[in-house]
Amino acid sequence: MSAKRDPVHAEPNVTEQDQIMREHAGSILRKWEEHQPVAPFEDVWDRYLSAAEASRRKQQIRNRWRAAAATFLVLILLGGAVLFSSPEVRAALSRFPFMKMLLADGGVEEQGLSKIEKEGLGVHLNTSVIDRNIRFTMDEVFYDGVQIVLNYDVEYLDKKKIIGEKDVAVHYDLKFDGAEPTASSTHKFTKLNDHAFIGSTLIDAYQYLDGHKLYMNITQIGLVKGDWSVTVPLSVSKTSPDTKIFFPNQTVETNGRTRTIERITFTPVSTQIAIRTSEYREHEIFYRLRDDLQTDFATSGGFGGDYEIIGNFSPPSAINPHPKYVEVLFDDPSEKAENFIRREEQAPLNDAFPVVLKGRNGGRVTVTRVDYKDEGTILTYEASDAENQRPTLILTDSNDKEHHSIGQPVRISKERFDFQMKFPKLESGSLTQINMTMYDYKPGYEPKPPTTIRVPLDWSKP
Amino acid sequence: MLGLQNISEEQARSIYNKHSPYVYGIALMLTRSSPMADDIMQETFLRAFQKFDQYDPSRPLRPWLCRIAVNLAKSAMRKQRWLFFQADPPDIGDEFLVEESMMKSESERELWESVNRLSAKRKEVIILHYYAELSLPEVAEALHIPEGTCKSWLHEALKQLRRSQTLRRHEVRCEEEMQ
Repeated sequence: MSAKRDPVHAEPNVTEQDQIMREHAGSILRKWEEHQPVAPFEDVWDRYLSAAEASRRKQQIRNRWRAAAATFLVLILLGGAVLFSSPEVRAALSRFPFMKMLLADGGVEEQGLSKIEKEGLGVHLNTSVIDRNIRFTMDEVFYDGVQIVLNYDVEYLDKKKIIGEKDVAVHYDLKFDGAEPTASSTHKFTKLNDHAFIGSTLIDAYQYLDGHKLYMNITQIGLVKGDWSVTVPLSVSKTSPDTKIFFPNQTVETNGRTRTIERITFTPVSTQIAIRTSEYREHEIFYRLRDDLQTDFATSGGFGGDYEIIGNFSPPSAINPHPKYVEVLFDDPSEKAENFIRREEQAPLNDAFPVVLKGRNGGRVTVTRVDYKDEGTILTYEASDAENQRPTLILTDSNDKEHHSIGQPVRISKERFDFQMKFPKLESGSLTQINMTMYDYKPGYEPKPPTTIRVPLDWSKP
Repeated sequence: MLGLQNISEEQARSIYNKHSPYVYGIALMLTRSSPMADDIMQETFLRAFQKFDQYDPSRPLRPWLCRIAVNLAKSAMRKQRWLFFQADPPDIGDEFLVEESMMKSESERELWESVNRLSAKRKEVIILHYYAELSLPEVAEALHIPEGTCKSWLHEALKQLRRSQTLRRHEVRCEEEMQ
């Protein structure tokens, strides 16, 4: 039997050189082993601890803000309504519009999540655990292969106890059986009455988890330690009929590096794109996603692996749910802040329309109407071009109070860049002014056009 | 927190003491600058501790550390090249003395000089395969090239080194004959 030779070292001279290199490297490595570290361990460890502490503080501030916004929100939504104790509370809670509440103040971006309730895409569980006189109930779970949403409620069964802000919190960690995906999560708790609150947890897990179980290990509710852990089955059965996955495997080269569009997943509530990169952990890639009508998909977080970048976006727009193609636009990574000038446009906002605002780089944004409705104030505008389709608009009312938009603008016309943007509910005719902030290129600066790759989508194929 | 395995100080110290000279050596070979190698070494461990949850404990630690160091080195050198074009050449100081301190004999230094005359691609493959002790699939993964390409670059690099060595021996013989 003849031994198979390694093609690298097939030539005798090369084999000999390979041996020389091994001996040389071995000698060098032995010398390295004898070396002491050039910097003391404590220097690196201190830097690690400082970075971890900074990250923890940032997260704490974010969570505090969310909790405060949620508490404020419920007072508006409930309008003084009181929910009574069990079993009435249970019945009311299980029908509670979790997603509506979660998305109402814009603290969590609306990227299609409202469809979960509108289209009944969640799976009702109604799994309860009682410990220390507190009942935790997992009401509903949603999973589409991209995002997980858990909706739950908590009741303090001791009716003598009136709950405060510190009681409105669930302390948990999440684990998956047989999987350790990279994942990020955010949650929101909303006080309902003196004895109950609801919560929603949104998880972006960058691994397909259909058929897996999610363990929500709950060790504390409010200030009370205990065990309210629940197991949640994950299934895409409710969303899979409307989910489509494409594997374009198309490559584009930009700045000497290649990007391969490996996978695009469209679910009823999100779009996910997986891009393979040529450089290890090359996470500073700036890219956008557009449909065949040049509507930008709203970004919704992402993850960077060793040679993979995963980006989450909103689903396709309602007026164009099955685009013939999408384009991925890779922007020049060397574009610097000093190449831009910040500019503000202001105009009175009353009943006289249109209101024309000078947009980015010679374009314009024209406000055509404002509708004061119960669900919010709807502003309709037309952008002159794709680059001006998502303006930053702030409305001011007669009390000089500023109002920011809730969620992302929604395109309403296929032929023109007509959009609607939602603002909080306001008294009819109360708005006085509109402000638009934008960043123009500095005069004389010629930006590199983005490198664009077009991905055809054949929706008829299974 | 999801799937986070925090590293203990004791565990971190043990990893650092065992592997930091090695990581420093690889960074030094790639950058040929002791200040840069020092920065890369520290940054490698900082990132390794932060991303320890992504490390698969069933696999050897060194290739993982090496991949982090190689990418940091590549990034630092890109920046350095940019600085080079923007301003005065960087002050390289006594970096070659540090390198030479590891290579005591004349033949070791000659071989190392030959390695440094290789093109960047071939040099990277040689350093990662022999000095960083990565297997060919691991080198291919670290450089994001197909394994076949990696083998081909390694083969060409070894052939070139062989030619340099042969030429050098021929030159020495000629010098001896002339004397």
